[in-house]
Amino acid sequence: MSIVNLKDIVKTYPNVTALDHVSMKIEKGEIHALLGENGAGKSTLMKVLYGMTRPDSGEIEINGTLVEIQNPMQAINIGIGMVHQHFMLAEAMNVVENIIVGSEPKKNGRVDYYQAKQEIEKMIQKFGFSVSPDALVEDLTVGEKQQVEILKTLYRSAEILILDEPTAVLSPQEVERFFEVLKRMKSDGKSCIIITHKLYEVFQIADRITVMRDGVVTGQVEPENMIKTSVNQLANYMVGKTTAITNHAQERKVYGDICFEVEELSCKNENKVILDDISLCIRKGEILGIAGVEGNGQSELVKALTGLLKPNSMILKLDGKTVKGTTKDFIKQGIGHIPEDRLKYAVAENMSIAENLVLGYQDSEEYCKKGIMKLKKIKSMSAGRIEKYRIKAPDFKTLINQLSGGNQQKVVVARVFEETSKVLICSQLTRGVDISTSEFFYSLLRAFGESGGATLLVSSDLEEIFTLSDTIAVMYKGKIAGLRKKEDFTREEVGILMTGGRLDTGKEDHCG
Amino acid sequence: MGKGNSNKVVILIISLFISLIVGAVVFAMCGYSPLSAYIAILKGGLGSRSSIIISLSQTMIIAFMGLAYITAIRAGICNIGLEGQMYVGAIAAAIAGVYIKGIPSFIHVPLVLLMAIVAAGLWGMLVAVLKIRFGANEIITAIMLNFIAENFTSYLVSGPMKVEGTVAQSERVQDSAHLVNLVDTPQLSSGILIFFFLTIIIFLIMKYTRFGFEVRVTGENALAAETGGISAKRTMSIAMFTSGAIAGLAGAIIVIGVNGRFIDGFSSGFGWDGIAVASLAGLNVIGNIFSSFLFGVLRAGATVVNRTARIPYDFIVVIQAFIVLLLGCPKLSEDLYGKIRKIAVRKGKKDE
Repeated sequence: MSIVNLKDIVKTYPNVTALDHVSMKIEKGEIHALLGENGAGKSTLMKVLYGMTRPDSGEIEINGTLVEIQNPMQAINIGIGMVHQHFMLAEAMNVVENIIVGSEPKKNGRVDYYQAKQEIEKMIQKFGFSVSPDALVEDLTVGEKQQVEILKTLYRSAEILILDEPTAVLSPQEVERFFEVLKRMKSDGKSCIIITHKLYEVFQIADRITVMRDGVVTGQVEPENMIKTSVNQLANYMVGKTTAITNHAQERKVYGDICFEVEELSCKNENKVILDDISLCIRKGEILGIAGVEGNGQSELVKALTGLLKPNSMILKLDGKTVKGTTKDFIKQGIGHIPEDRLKYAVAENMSIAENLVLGYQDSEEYCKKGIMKLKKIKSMSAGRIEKYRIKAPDFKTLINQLSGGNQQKVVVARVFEETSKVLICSQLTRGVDISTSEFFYSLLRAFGESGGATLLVSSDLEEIFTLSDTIAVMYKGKIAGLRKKEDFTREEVGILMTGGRLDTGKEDHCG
Repeated sequence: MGKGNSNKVVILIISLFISLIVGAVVFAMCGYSPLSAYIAILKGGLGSRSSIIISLSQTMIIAFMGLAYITAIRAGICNIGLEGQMYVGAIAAAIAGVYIKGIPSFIHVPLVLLMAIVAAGLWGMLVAVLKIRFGANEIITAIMLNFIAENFTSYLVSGPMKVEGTVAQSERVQDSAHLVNLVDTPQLSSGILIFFFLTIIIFLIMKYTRFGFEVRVTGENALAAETGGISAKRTMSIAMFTSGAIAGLAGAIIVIGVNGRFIDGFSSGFGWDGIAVASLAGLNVIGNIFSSFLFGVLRAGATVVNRTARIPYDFIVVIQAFIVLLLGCPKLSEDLYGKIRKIAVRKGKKDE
């Protein structure tokens, strides 16, 4: 008997059938990957299971009994826990407080903090977590915050855990620890459902795979067939057509002169050194990848190079000429920027696609003459780009918040790639973006290089760094811990540098 | 898009309807007949030529304030200092109107208005400057600046600028500083033309110019604006100057158009009504005209009812407050709307 049995679930929204007679079974003590592109319906299915949304029809059986889950509270009582992609934690409170809130152990009418802490310490040991119970949440790394979220569900004695894109925000080392925790939970008899679109990961960890596309289950892989299944096969289930995952390690031509050069970049914040004497250079046509665990100065590096942050010292040259001034000047000189968090830094959600395609280039004569916007021009430009960049939207008037994450990123990408001539600074280019769109972005990036553009690529996804970069620099605590041609680095070496280790051989200076 | 807007309108109407019901309950509880009270208010606001003129006059001032509020909120600043900016504009207008003598009207009137614009604009921009330079919360500074403006102008017309007599007010402005009246009473001045002109200008700026684009992006997402090379600080400062200037202009029009002088504490909460009507209009400059008219009629009608039927003015405040309250929790009206629609659909099916 399956622990969860979803039968014939249908959920429609106006104009969209999110779930079209979906059935799925989860066995006790298995790690079940729910795979699919953005908008395939996997999140909706899990929301149904967690009681966040009611299906139009269909049945849910837990341990063989028919249940009706009307809200998350009921789901928790049945033993279902969910860890959302965006954490819901009180930053100013400590780990124990965050875990027990809502189900505090009581003793004589008071919260029995001591008992709670003991219990949580036991769980931390049992499942191999690394977080300290007394730490304040605001001091935790992203990986540790995720542990708190998982502990929260375990503390409420969840037997079925739903994890929404759990590895999207983790560094490779954190991913490994997370997988370790998953395995221990599994051997403890808990069932885990991972919502993901990362193909390779699925093979590493999952016992069983369900693939969804457009609200329908398109493929299921049973444990006994795991070895026989290929990545391409799964990709086909997901995308619906034969998309061979291309091998990007093609021969590349030798690149040109030095294009973008930064020296002596240092930045302090309240006496804390954030960037420490960084020097980098990018040649024409080169892609320089910046690897590193998030929070080691990458964000500040990007902000300094795009004029958003005034560092304590920096010499920045583009084609031999010094770059100075505000962000506006940087943009005018041909430095394009794809920020790490599109909703926070790149788009105005309540404005149209057309307006967001212009943002950053509103001073350009193309779109504005004597302070008056050229609306006709902007409209025709937008219509063209929506087609060229395959943005799924009815028209250019569509608001950004009506688009899926991947399509929002396409708007940003379209804007920056079309308007940028010389240097591209991009950060977490494919975060929350499905494979086919990622592939599309990768090909754009390579085309930009072939046309002589210089690219700085910041990513916490090591695969992405190795796929795209010509040269790799690793950042650790505000410094460049190592810099080599991609061929001279192994993933293990980069991993060591990312976590503060040292390599025997020094870094090479490829600009010298 | 269109569908969303029509939903909004329905929700608005439901909010109004509930407010009127609540008002009726309050009337009934206090021993007045709700129906006759509402009729009296309507008559008082629209019943005669003179009451229509009073309604329109009130509408104009409220609409100015609504427009001022919208201008600032579009750039992401909630300007609740409208009341103070209005007083500053009014006192500047009074100073220029009373003490500058011997110049022709076509110079004097624009000069008065310009003085009001500059003074109130700077007063408004102060809020933005304090926020940007020192990180001061704009709500708190604006409220404090309201107190300063209201009490300082009160001091001026009770002391240095006071006209002889018992009332705290300034002298009458020079004849050359008077705005032309549209009708035979001074209540409805040509200020209303200035208002329509401003509304059109702001509508056009927001929609068609680069500056308007920069303001809207800043208001929607200041960080994205910065990434796009827009100085959010500069945009916010200009927007606050404009917002203050519009509020000040309304103050000036009251001084040189309606009252003919600065009367201590002349504003009976116009600034606050402005925030309400702007929200009611969904921050749309055209919608602002209609919501202001609603509030203007209620205000004028209530004043009359207060005199004739001895129904306290506060009843209108209750109704207005409920409208704002219901708009402040759109979920409530939305839920109600959803339920009503469901019932309608069910009924429709039965009928088939």
